[in-house]
Amino acid sequence: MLGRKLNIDRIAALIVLAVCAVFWWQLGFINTKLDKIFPQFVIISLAVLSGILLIKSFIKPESKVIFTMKHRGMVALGAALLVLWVVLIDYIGFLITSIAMFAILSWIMQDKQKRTVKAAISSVLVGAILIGAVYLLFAKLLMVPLPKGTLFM
Amino acid sequence: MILEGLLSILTPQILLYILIATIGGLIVGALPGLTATMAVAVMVPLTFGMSPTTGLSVLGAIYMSAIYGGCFSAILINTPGTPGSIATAFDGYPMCVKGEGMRAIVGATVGSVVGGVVSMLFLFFLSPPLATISLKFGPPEYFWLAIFGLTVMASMGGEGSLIKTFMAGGLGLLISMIGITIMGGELRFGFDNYHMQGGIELIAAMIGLFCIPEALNYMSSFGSMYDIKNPEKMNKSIWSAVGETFRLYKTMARSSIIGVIVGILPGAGGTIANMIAYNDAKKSSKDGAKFGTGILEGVVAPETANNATVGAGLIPTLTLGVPGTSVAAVIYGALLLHGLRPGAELFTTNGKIVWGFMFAILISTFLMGVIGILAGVPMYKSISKVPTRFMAPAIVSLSIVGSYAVRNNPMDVVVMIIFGLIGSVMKELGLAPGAMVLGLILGPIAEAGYVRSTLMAFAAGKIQTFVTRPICLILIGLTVMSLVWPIFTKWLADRKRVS
Repeated sequence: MLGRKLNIDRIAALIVLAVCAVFWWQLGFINTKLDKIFPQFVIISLAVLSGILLIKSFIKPESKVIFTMKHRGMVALGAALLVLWVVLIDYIGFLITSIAMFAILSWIMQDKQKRTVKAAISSVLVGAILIGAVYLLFAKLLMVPLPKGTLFM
Repeated sequence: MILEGLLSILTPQILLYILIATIGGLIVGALPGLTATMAVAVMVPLTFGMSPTTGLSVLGAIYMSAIYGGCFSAILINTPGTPGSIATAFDGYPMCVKGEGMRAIVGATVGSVVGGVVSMLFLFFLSPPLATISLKFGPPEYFWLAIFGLTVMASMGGEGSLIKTFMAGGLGLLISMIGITIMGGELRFGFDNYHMQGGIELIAAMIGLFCIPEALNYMSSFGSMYDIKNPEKMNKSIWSAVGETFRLYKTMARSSIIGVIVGILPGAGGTIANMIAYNDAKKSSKDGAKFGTGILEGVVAPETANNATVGAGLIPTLTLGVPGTSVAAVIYGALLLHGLRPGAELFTTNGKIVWGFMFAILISTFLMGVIGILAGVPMYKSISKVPTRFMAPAIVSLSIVGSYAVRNNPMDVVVMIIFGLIGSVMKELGLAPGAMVLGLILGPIAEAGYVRSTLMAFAAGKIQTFVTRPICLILIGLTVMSLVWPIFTKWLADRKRVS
């Protein structure tokens, strides 16, 4: 089940046209003329290119099934977990969040029959060692203070 | 004086410092988000207690090896460790996937050493005449240099459409304009959000665009890192790879010259040299069509060029007191802190220290070559066996730390993730994320050049300032050639196919 083919030229052209419209509207708030000329040139060029692509999408479209990878569900779940990872860092800090997210991701990224307790332990161990090493390197050796999380401040 | 300088660093203590600094620079360069500038800046206070010769030798060694270190992550995990290694990933990573990672690492190493040595020779022997070139570069020249740099996009789309590649680059340009404007100091494209005042952090966006799509890609394939069809290729001898790289001496020579020229221009640096050299190699190679699929030339050219900016960047720094690259600017500060005043008299008043510093960089260039091969080849062999279930979260962790470390700003991590997700969608739609990064890098240079040139033209009452200056004319010619060349070669190939 790969899904249906999409006209990616048309999608790309419409997205970029929408971006151009939003940026053009924002340009209206700028008062200095010299600060407007370069962005105006870029937006107009982008809009022209998008227009050409839009016309091409009707004459000679490039259609394909997007996100054709083997485990599409996993990619969607992975993307959601990435967002959660970043959100949680704010609350519980880099160290704990990253070990937990590393363990969860590495445990679920394998075939269902391999998701055993042993695999879970190995995921936690590898996560703790790797994230611990990254933490020590950055926070202690290179003096980059990594987020501690608002709950522990 | 020259011999005295060389002898001053040939002590066991200084040589040990140079070795440690070289290894440290390699590690920092290989970690996404940690740049050579940051590494040198962090080390400056630690050199206070050292003698000027020792302190400057350490900084020089870090500079050279950190620029080279970026190639490891670019080749092994498709994630440039420094912005100066972006183009290295275009062919380096496909080579890894094909089982030719060892060739890629050896090629990058030999190229980096050659580029580094050539640039140091220029620094040794041709500093004064070359330094004057950097003074001839005004705003109009920078504007055209950025426009010429943007034409590199034509080489980035792979098999995708050229229109879409330029669209991706245009989006990068547009996003680079977010933040406070040059003239009026107003918040542009900020949507009334004060977080946008500082603009989009380039490193965070770059890490997102390159790393996150790769991590998501690994998440979709349960197995080992590279799906190597011919594992026997992995066991090729290192010496044969070294020989193979040296046969690309013409590519290395051209890329070295590109690196030296770009390096001496204040503010340009390794990122632009890396891209321009890749583009040049693609255009001049008989295998130009194979670029992007994993070809040795595509790794050697950009890696030679970025290390060739190191010595070149120091030319205007040492002789004129005008830093050629951002790292050279930090080194300029370090020189002042150690009581040395860059300028024409530096070589006569403090010749022993300056020559010692330059020889230390040269020694570190050879050391990084040996260490790079000794560490890089086994690293490739072990990474190729790492299961993707460990590699994907590891890449994400490093991306988070790397984007955060640039400014210690949690917003940059959010920016990184947003750009990562945007990059994944862009890839599926055929919009090259690499072109967007190029737009992000060159946008500010192009706009600043444009605004200042316009002011110059108004002041002089001559709008032709933009196009009549000799260097501008050369850059315009190169831009036109760069744009027309792919169309011409495609037309030639079509004609051959028909006949």
